[in-house]
Amino acid sequence: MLKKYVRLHALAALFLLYGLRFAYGASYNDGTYVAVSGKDDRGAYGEVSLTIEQNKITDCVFVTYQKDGKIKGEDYGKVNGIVANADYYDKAQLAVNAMKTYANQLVETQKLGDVDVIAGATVAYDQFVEAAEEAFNQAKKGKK
Amino acid sequence: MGAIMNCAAYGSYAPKALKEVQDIAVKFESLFSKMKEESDISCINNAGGAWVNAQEHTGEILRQALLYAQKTDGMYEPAIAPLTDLWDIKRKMKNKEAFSLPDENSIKKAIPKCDWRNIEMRDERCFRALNGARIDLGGIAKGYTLDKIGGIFKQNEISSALLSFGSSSVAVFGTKPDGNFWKVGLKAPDCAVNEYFAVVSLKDKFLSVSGDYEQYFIKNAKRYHHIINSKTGYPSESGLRSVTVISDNAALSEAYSTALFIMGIDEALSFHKRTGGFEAVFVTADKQVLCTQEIKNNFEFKGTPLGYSYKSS
Repeated sequence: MLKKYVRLHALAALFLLYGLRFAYGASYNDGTYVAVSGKDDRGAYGEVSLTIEQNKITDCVFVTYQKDGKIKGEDYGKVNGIVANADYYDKAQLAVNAMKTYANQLVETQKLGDVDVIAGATVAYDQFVEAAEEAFNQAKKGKK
Repeated sequence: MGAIMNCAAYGSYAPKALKEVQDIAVKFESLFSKMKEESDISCINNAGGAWVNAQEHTGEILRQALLYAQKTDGMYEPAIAPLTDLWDIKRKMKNKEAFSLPDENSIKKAIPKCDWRNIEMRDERCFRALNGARIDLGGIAKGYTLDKIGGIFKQNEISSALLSFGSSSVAVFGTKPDGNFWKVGLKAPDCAVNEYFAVVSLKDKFLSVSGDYEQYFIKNAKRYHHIINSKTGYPSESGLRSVTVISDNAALSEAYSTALFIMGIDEALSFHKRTGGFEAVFVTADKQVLCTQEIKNNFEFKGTPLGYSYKSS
């Protein structure tokens, strides 16, 4: 699915189709699975690692990377190492903190949220869901 | 349009249907984008007022756009490109450019161009743009595409599907495979990306959100967002932060969510009373949540921990 996503991206640039969710209540193989999302329009991407034991998610880590491969952390939103624009920095940090929340929530709720979709959410959340779904698909096939 | 589309479909012909969805999404982008020089819309915009023969889908979306512009008295305005180009908030955000206000004189000159009555139709597929008007279908194209995807799903016997387009447009087809209604969380302005103030349960509906909290600049402590009022030339200041419209038609939902956002709560409620055919959820600047009567049975307020209050008028 990820390959298809990337190919489409190259083809259409703007129209992307991903995340076919065919599974409800499927069974998963134990293991740790890693999947990477497609890139957003700034070239950033997310990586999810899921640990599954006896059909339960026991751990989830979500890391997002900027175009140059740098992890989005405390420096995300700074320009040349300094906070040049406080509004922009705050917004960027809000996003970084939200990403930690997604991963914790997934372990807590054992599924992708109480809702099927959030209307108005930003690209970072889409990337998380996409990468998480890919990791789930791997877990179903048992391919690490 | 430049948006990410996320889709889940259930049914034996789902893979075939999704292939068709990809194809029309790519096709529509090439017809409707004002950013693409060879698109139908660019041809009309750049023809200097001459008649242009467009393709069938371009004709259909333009007729719908003009209809909704007429019904909302230009609060949804398809000829708004002269103003959106002037403000250009999306591109400046993307390129992290410094934000400067357009000068007042240019705004004044652009206002009369941004009028749907400047777009004339000779027959179903032949259009011209007069008096410097230029078309921007950004406020309807995602919806029109979702409507056509609905047709593809019907043909391919898809019993159940969820589609989100740029996360501001959501379509649900049928119920979930387990028979329950689809649950759509409505994002709370200025909160973390996964926090929602309400959940609506839907079956066979199209939902569209317009809000000022994703694309904006702050200048001198004032928020300049991307929803431009074509009558004033400036970002709308109606006292609303977000409007969600739910109906059986995605293009209508998308056009009306923008129109209602610009109208403000009083006019929007009276417009709903006069015209009907849709349901709406409003978030005001003072964190009040209101919704129209019919949606209330399928509406669950969750905003109390986020500081929102529900006003069941």
